[in-house]
Order: sequence, then C-alpha cells, then structure tokens
Amino acid sequence: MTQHMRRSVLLAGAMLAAGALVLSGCDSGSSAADDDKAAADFDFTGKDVGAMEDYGVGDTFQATEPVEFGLFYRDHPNYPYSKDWLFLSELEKNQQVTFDITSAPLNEWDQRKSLVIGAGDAPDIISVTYPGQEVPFVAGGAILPASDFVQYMPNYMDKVKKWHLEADLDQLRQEDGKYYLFPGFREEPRPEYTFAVRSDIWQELGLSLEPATFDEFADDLRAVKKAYPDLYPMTDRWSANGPLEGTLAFVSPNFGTQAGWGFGQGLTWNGDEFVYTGATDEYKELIEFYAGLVEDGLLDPEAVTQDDDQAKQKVASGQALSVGTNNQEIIGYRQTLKDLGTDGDLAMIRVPAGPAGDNFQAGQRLVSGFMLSSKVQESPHFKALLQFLDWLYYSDEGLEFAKWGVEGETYTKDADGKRVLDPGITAMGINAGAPKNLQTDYGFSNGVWMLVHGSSVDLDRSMLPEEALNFVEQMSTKKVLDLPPPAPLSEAEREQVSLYQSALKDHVWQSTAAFILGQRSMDEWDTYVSELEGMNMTQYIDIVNEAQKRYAKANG
Amino acid sequence: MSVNSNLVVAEAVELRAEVDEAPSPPQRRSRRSRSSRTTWRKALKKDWRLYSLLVLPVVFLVIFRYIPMAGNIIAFRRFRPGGSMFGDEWVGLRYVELFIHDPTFWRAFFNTLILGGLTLVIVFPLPIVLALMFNELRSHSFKRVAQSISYLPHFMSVVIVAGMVLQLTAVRGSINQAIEFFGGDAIPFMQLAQWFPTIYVSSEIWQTVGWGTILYLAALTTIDPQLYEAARIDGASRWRQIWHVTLPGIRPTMIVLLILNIGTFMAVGFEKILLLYNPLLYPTADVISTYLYRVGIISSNFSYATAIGLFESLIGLVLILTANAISRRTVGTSLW
Amino acid sequence: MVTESLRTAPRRMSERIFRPAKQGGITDTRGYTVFRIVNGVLIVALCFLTLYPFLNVVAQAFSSEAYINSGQVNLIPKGFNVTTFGYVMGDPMFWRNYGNTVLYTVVATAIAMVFTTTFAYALSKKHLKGRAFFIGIAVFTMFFNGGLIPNYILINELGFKNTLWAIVIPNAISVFNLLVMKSFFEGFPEDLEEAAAIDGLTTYGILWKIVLPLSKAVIATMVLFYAVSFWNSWFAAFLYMDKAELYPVTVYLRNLLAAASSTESLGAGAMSGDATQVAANVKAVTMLLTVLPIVCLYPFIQKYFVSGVMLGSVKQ
Repeated sequence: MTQHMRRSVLLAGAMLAAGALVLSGCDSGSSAADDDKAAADFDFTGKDVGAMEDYGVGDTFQATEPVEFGLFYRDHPNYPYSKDWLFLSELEKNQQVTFDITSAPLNEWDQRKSLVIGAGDAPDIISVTYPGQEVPFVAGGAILPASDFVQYMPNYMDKVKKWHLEADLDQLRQEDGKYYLFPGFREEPRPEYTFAVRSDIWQELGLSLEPATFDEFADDLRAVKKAYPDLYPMTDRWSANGPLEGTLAFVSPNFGTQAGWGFGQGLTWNGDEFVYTGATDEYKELIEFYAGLVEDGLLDPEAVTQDDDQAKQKVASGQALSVGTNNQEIIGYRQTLKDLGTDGDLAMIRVPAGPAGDNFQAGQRLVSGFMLSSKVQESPHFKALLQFLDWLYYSDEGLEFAKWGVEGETYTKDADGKRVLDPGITAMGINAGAPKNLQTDYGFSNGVWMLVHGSSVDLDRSMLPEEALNFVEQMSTKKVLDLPPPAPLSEAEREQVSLYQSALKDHVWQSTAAFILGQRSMDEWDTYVSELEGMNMTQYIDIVNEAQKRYAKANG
Repeated sequence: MSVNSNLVVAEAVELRAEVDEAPSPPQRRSRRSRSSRTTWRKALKKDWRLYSLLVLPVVFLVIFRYIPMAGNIIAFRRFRPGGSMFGDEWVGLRYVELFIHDPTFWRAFFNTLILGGLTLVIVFPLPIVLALMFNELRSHSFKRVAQSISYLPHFMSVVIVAGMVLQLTAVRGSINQAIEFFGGDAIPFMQLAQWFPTIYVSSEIWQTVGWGTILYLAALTTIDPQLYEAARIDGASRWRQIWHVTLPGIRPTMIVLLILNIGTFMAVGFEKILLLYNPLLYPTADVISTYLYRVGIISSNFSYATAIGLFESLIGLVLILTANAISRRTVGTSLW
Repeated sequence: MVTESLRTAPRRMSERIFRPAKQGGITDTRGYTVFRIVNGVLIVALCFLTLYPFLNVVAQAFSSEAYINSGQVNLIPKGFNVTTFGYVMGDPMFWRNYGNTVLYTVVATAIAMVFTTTFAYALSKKHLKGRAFFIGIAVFTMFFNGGLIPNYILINELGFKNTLWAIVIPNAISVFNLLVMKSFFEGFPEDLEEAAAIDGLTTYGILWKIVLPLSKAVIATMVLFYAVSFWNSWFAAFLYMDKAELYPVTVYLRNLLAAASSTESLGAGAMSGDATQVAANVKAVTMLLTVLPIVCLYPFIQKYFVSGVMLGSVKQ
C-alpha cells in the first residue's frame, strides 16, 4: 500500500500542477534558469565553515574541517542501518562528513516525515522525497526554497543544462515561482512496466512479442482465447486502489491521455488550456478498448478489483496467461512457475502503439530527491552542506560512489570501462549467492544516499539485468510526450481544489471500473460527463486555467 | 490487625436480589444517609483516601489528554506544517463549511452511520449469546479449549483477514464455489457495492465474537451460585434459571458495554475497510476515515481533518450522553 | 441463609458422565438436553470456523513460495520451508525488538492497571462528591483528543522521546476499561466492605485486601485487554521513536511487510531466491510470531476466570 502511494505520488507529482510548456517561441528554458541566478545572492559570511574555497564541476568535495549534518533517514528493512558501513567510513575519511541520523521505518516514512516537519522538528536533510510531496510544507516555511540556492551547486546546474531539465523543473515551481525540492535527475526515463506474457504459449501460437498496435495485441489475445477457451488470456494487478492503475499508466499515453497512476491531477493540456482528463474523448477511447477486452472475454473481469496476491496466483496456477509486470516482478513470476515445475516461461512484450501514436508518458525525469529544512540557513555549515550535497547527489563521481562503492574494493572496471562487481559481493541480483551484499554490508546503492539509481544513463543501466536492458532498448523508439505548462495554485485555491480533485477522481475511478466491466454501458458516457460537471469539474478547471495564465503572465 | 477475607465473607453473606441497586447501608458512625448537601471540605475530610486514589489518574488525564486538546483549535485556524502548532491565522468556520458542502463527505458520513449501526445492532448481541452458550457447556476442558479457539480471530492481523475475505469472495473462491454447486451463478461480491455491508459485518462478527465473550464470562463468575441454588429449589428449569438468574446477573455489564458501544459506534474500522474496498464499492464502503485518507494524500491538510474529527467527536459525545440518560431512566443503570 | 452443600450427588447417569457445572447438578428436561446437544454442535462448528483460517496461516508460514503463490496451500504446509523464519529470527534486531515489546508491555500494563484500578474503585463509590464530574472528564477524553502534532510536541517537551516512557505513559488509561471496571466494582457487595471497615480497615486496606482478591476475574480480564493492546501497538513507537533499536517488534514486522510488498526497484535488494520466498509468506510468519506468545499466555489467565466472588461456597 505504501508502494502504491509512493508510485502514485511519484507519477502524480511528475504531472503536478502542469509543467513548463516549451512552446516554440517561449524561451522558458533560459528564463527559468535566469530566474534562479537572479535570486539575490545569499550572504554566506559565518555560514561557510568547512566549505571549500574553490569548488566546481569535477572537484571532489572535501570539507576543510570535520562536519556533521542532520539527516532524516529512511530505514529500509532490506538493508537495515549499520554505523559500520564502508560508505560512512569512506565519507568520513575522504569528505570529512558524518551524519546525525534520525530514522523512521520504511512503512511509516511518509507519515513520519509529515509529522516531523509539521511539528517543526525536521533535521537538516530530509531524504527520499518525491516531487509533489514537498507541496504541503511550502506555505509554512519549514522547507528551504531550493531554487534560490541551486546556483551554488555547480554539478546540479551543469546537469540541468546538459540534460535540458529546465522544463521539468518548472513543473515543480510554486506560486512564488520557486521550487522547494531538490529532485533526483534522470538523464533519460527508464521504461519499467509492461505486460508479461507466457512466451511458450505465444511461441506455440506464432504470436509476436512486439505487437505493433493495441488492436493487434487484442487480436493476439483473441487467438490465445480460441486456443485455450477455459483460461483467461489476460489478468491484471495493481488494482488495489483503483482499476488497473499500474497498467493504465503505461497504456494511456498511447491513447493520448493519462490514466491510472499517471492520472495525477486529472489535467490534460490541449494546446490552449487545460481540460479535465476524465471527460476527454481520448480517455473514453481507452476505456472503450478495455471494455471491449472484458466483453470479449479476453480480460479477467476480476482484474479490475482484485488484490495482487490473487493476480499472482492466477498466473502461477496457469489460469491466466498474461499480466502486468515490471523488471522485478517478472523474475518472481518466473521463479514460481519454475518451482512448480510448470513448463512455461514469461517474457516482457514491447508496449504497443495506440490510436494516438507510439508514446511514453511525460515527466519521468524528475524523481525522488531531498528537501532541506529552512533552518539550515542559520547553520555555520550551510555552504559546506550545499557543496557536499551537490557532490554526492549530482556529481558523476559522487553518484558512482554512492551506487557502486570504492573501485578496487567493491568493484573493478574492465577494459571497456564497464564496471564489474566484486565476485564476493551481490547486488540487485548480480552475483546471486555471494556471501556479502553491497547494500546490507557496505551501505552502497542505498535509496537514501543514491539518487535514482545513479541519474545518468551510464550509471542507471549499469546494474540492470539483460532482460531489463533489452526492454529499455525496445522501448527507446517511443516518443516521450511533452510536459504541460505550470499552473501553481495559491494556498486557499489548493485547499478548495483538493476536495474537488478528490471527489472527481473518485467518480472517475468508479466509473472507469464500471464502464470496463460493462456494469455501465458506454452509451452512458455523456451522462457520466454531466455527472462530473455536477461535481464542480468546471470550477476546478477554471481555477487551474486561471493559475496557469497568472503564472505565464508573471514569468513569461 | 489482620483480617481474614473468608471470615468477612462468611459474616456478611446474604442473598442479593438486585445487583445494581446497592442495598441500603446499615448505619455506620461516620456515614450520613443523605449526603447531597455535603460541602467539599467535609467530603474531602471524610473521603480523602478515595480522593487520593484519584489524584494520579486525573493528573494523567490533564497532562496527556487535555493539554493536547488545545491543538484542536486548528480546526478554526489555518495550520501550516512548520508553522505554529496552534495554527497561523484565524479562519473561523471555513473548514466546517468546506466539508459541509462536500457531497463525498456526506456519503462517507452516512456510510459510517450505516456500517457502524449494523455492526452495533448485529454484532453486539452475539458475544452475549455465545457467552451463554459457553456457560451451558458441562465439560470444563471442552469449554476452555473452545473459548481459546474462539479468540484466535481477534489476533489475526487485519492484513491477513482482508486477504482471506478477498480470497473467499473471489469469483472462483469458496463462497462462489458453493453457490455454483447449488446451481446458482457466481457473484462478483467485491465489485457490487450492495454486498459490502454484508461482507464487512460478517467479517466483524467472525473476528470479534469470540473475544467479546471475555467480559461476559468474567461477569458470569460474579453471579452468586446460591441464586442458582435458590432458583433450582424453587423448581426453575434451566431455561428459567438463565432468564431469571444469569441474564440479570450480567445485565450491568451488558448495559455498560451497550452505552459505550453506542457512543463509539462511528469509529468504524479504518484499516480493514481500506484494505477491502475499491472504487466500485465507494458508495457503501467509503467511511469518514477512508475519505480523509484519500483527501489527505493530496493535501495533507491537518486543519480539515481536525474539523471533521471535532464533528465526529461531538456526535459521539451527544450519543453517549443520550444513551446514558435513556438507560438511567428506563433501566436504572447508567454510566454515572 | 442457604448453607447446604452445592455438590449434591449426581442422580442420573448423564450427570455422572459430565462433571456437574458449578451451578450445581440439576435435573435436565428433555428439551434442555436437545438444546445442549445443539449447543455443543454449534460450538464445534464455531471452533472449526475460527481454527481453520488460523491453521491455514500456520501452513502458509511453513510453505514454500511456489505453492503459496499458486494458491495451493490449505491446512498442511507444502514444500516445507522455514526460510522466512530463518530470515526474520536470524536478525538480531528482531530479538532486540522482541525484548522491547515484552518490556513495554509489562511496564505499560502494570502502570495502566494501577491507574485504572484505583481510578475505577474511587469512582465506583456512589457517595463520592463530584463523582459525576470525574467520570465526565474521563468520558470526554474518549471522544476528544488533540491530534498527532500536539501529542508529538508534548511528548517531546517532556523529554520522553526515544525512551520507554513515551510508550508506556501516554496510553495508560483506557476509558473503556475504566468504565467497565467501575461497573464491576459497583456490583461488588458493599456489606463485605463495610464489614471490613468495621474491623478497622482503611479504604486502601479494603481495596487491597478485600476487593481486589475477590475481583480476580475482572482484574485478569483487564490485564489481558491491556496486555494484548500494548503488545499489538505500534503507533506510539511510530510517533515517538527515532532509533531502530527502540522499536517494538510490531514496527519491525510491519516494516518487513511493507518492504516485501513494495515493488520499488530501488533498494528492493533484487529478486534473489530468498527475497521472493520472504515476500510470499512474510505476512503469515509475522502474524505467527506476534500471536504465539499471547496464545500461549492465555491459558494461564484463564484459571482466574473460574474463581471469583464465590459467595456462599466458602464455609465458615
């Protein structure tokens, strides 16, 4: 459940409050960056204890004297915190940095974070925060406005420029034009989700693992149904909080809309203004497609509401022949089939194209990052903190260190420069069975200190299994959609709007499920839209459009 | 001077007719018979020991319950995380208006009433019945074993129970298998809103009925066995004994529990519903706590949640006062 | 005054087979015998309904993931496997946290019992001036509380954060339990207390020497209720504890559950064989590990439910 929350916030946040519209003609890229530089230069007198005199891209950070930073640490049970980690000792040795750790368990992470910040008790660095999660804390002034200070972080600025992240960052801006999160960067979004199909059956029937369109995929499912009338060609999961949330998220961009985890605030930019996603024709088309699947007996109707365990059971027992998956889950499905002695195997297919094209959702380049408590402005180590964070989270050297560890100790580089993990250490499935674990025993590849698997394409993919790499290759020909323009709301607007959003989304979710299952006929679509209107849809859209115009006027 | 409790008991044995009405006390030198006019000074002087027993608990309540209650003011002031604990600015009834005008809130409110009410009406009597059933078992060891087994569901974590319910109600789950065996069509229970109350209440019954008997079993031990003797001598059958001795014997416990349950009936299980429901079931399954949870993900609005919380608390308080008053008037027993 | 012995010799064969209940042997009508048979059958059915799911969970805890994931586990473990147990119980933090839970539960229950019993006894005296007021302030707290942040700040200010006191003090009085106990005390025969008073005992003495020893059933019940609730509680630790060594085992186990169900590829530690096995039955294992001590403890408490205010059964 926490995972669902996290995912939905992740993806919602990426679509949060609209993004920067990179309209041809609007030079928003440089204007945003200029804004950041234009912020009044901060006076660091008395606050640069331990900071390096000369620090820039390519420099290794080392504090001029030992410094300690407060850290809100997320304790993941797969790698419980240990103060003996090599990561920590290296940091102390080379960077002269130690941490004063306040920890919270993974399970209660979001609530605890909210509580601690709410009570004004937050440590300096608040780790593992997804875009969108910082919004509630902005108004109270508990969080440092990141955009004012990134100018002092050379690696950060360098990557923003190299990877053209200005438009993505604009998505995070609040009404005052500033953004409050230090996001994790991703050079290129990495596709992870698709359908897993029984490759033995697909092969038997001569079906392709790279169907060109969804219609073709549906035909494939029909062929499967014909050959195996008593089984479900497809079931699905990630429906615990809403119908087919996970799957609709990667399917919907191909239909020109956003659904499931990608639904976010329910706003679609049509070029001129925002409209409500749940009422658009593209959304209708997506739902129609799925309703057709259920009607033809291709999709297990229970998939719309069942919990993940039930879905997994259907796949494992052979009752269903395909299911939604990601890199990790397919390994689990496969393992179960093997343990049961079934003569079957699974493969990930390439997500097909749809009526709106061969697309991949927008906004996947900013992911989990960190916030800083606004109290750090008073700290004598403020400048050192910024430099350190810049080095650890945004410099190539720091990212590599956080992910792979120490060259010669935990990994080596072969002739091609490819990193090879020490054979006595396992991580992410590599060197399975090795006595030591990179995360548990050394403290590397830790979600708190390593942003986004390493940010750069090089690092991000360095630990992936071959199957995942192939999938990424296959999917790389998809078009990544553009981001909408930002439309940050004022506090009062947000209060009102959150209730509208919640009610509208509930209704969209409910009706999506009902339409897909056939409980409600597609002929009733117009009735459904008018129901949405009765739930303040127009007021909601009006407020958002107002906010967008307001922002565009103030910021060009 | 040491006092032997058995001797005291033997000295003071007498048949108790009505358990709740205290028999008129014999004259004791320091007791007044009509003491409603006692002033505080006199009361303190006479009962200072009793008051001394009160001191620690009351101090506890004041520190750990009443002081934080001041935080509820944020229902009327805008609270910002990181700002003052008492909110940053006065907004009056803004949040109250927000939720009054939200139809989703009212749907959640009525669902809470319905689910809570059903649970109260159906689930409340069952532990009593079960306790009586246990009481009629002759074999002690069977009784003990059966009791222990009946408590097991209470200990099953809600995650597991939810998983079980979902399995049972699945289209190919046990319940549907039974239905099809008898010639019916499988029903997708978790996709039809009208089934949720039944499913929820059934799972509540299963989980709580065993544990709920504990209090009643404890109460049953306080019934004077001599009353049964007397009834038997008077020629009462077992049924009449149950009716005239057992039930009145546990009546005070029943009443207390009933009043308490009426007061708290709106506290419908949050986690279980969260795990069981899905959007198709919102019309009957969405309760106030789950509604707040969903709204909270988007806004993290403590003030709004507090306003709703105050509303719920007020209702609960009114309910318990009413139940108590009615009980005092009709039955004679009350909480105070 | 009835003084004849309760244990009259059983007259019929059926009564010789079953030991006479403590209410005394009586002649059963035919209808009542039918009822007793039906009663027995119903209770057996209930036992089945409650035991079966529990045994299912036990079986899952010992089964291997393939069988669990394909839904084949019923009452008997399939593919007997204790990997998850090893995974959990091999972690020293687990034992540390388990010890914490035991400590917290014992201390919290003791404190809660002292507060609740004294409070309930004092409030059960109907002649006490201001009684309604005190009951009122207790009942009021049942409905109104301050919310997360004020409580958090209060505990912080008191310096309880990251100490035992943060867990055992804030929930020391459950008003529900208080009122139930009060009602039991109200039903306690006053004449016993008066006789003791006449013999020279003070209020404290009456409470300690007369009332409590004869109220074993309700005291046992309350101890059980409090102990179970503290044993299962994780919320206070979540609010006030920062360090993993201080967590009760419930937080540890909840955490494990969250990790197992999280498909977040970051930090999921990859799908090594162990991880999938753990993910499959960690729910069952955690439940068993939490429940077992209580289930074992219960029979010891049960004997207190037999004794009680056995008026009349005690001879001079």
